[in-house]
Amino acid sequence: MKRLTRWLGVGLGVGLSIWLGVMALATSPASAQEKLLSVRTSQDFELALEQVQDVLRQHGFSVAHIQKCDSGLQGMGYKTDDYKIVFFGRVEEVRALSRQYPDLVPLFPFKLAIYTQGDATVLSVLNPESVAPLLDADPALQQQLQAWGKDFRAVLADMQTLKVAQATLQ
Amino acid sequence: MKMLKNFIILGITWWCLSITAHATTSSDLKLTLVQESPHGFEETLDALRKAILANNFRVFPDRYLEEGLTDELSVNPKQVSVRFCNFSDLHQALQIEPQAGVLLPCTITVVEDETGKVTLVTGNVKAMLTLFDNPRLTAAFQDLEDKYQAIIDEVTL
Repeated sequence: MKRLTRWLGVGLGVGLSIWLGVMALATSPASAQEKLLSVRTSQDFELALEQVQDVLRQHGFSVAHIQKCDSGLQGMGYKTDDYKIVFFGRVEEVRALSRQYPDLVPLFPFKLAIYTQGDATVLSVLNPESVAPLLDADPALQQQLQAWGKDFRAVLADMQTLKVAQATLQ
Repeated sequence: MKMLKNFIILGITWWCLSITAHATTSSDLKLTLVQESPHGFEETLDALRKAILANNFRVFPDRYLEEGLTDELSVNPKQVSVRFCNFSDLHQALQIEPQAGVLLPCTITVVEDETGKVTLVTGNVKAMLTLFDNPRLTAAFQDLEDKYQAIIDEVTL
């Protein structure tokens, strides 16, 4: 009986240790969410580039400019696939938040990378929620980062829906 | 019973250490480098362009932070981003991590606030690298932080 109690104690102890360890990892903000948000689509690169600008506008963002990394690299003699960066944002947010939180300035305008990988076109954007620990974000800023995260996911989801709609039309 | 007590102590210690390690990482690394300039706005911009060129980067035309997000007359002209690139680094970064474009740090923004204080603001490369969880990318670009700091120091010291 004494031996059984001892083994039960050991089992409980090990179980508790593992649970505490897992909880420690799970409560870490960095591991609790994706740091980058991406979708992969079979859509043609140029078409996806056009459509993502429309989708961003539909979500209330303005497209500031497009950086042609591929052309720049090719111009310097490097071989590269299609690679562009769409800079976007909402002026009122940039204006207000760059004053209130100067640490956000390097994020503005937001950057969405669009590139070819094999036969697919990939769209990637930073998950704003993942930078909260690097900004020591207060509750109001955390809420803003979450709102942007939600918007970015919606933009990427719309890109996948558009792809389905396009395939249905063909 | 004694063994159970030991395991519970071990578990709690592990948990505390994990939380402490995380807290240290997040509080030590900041997303942004911000440094005040002793010069005026235009003088800082001029010195910054020269320092970037001196550090073997190609300088592109400046952009206002709000440019393209609103009409030309409404942009804040006291928030100017100086853009630059080293194509060799860019090519290497995209080869290692195609998603690197979402956080290309190749910009230092000069900001003058309402009080006339001029600051240089840029992304902290070390902090940005943590967002990719890519040891190869981190190994290849961990020295970039020093180049950025050298540029900022040249302008502000």
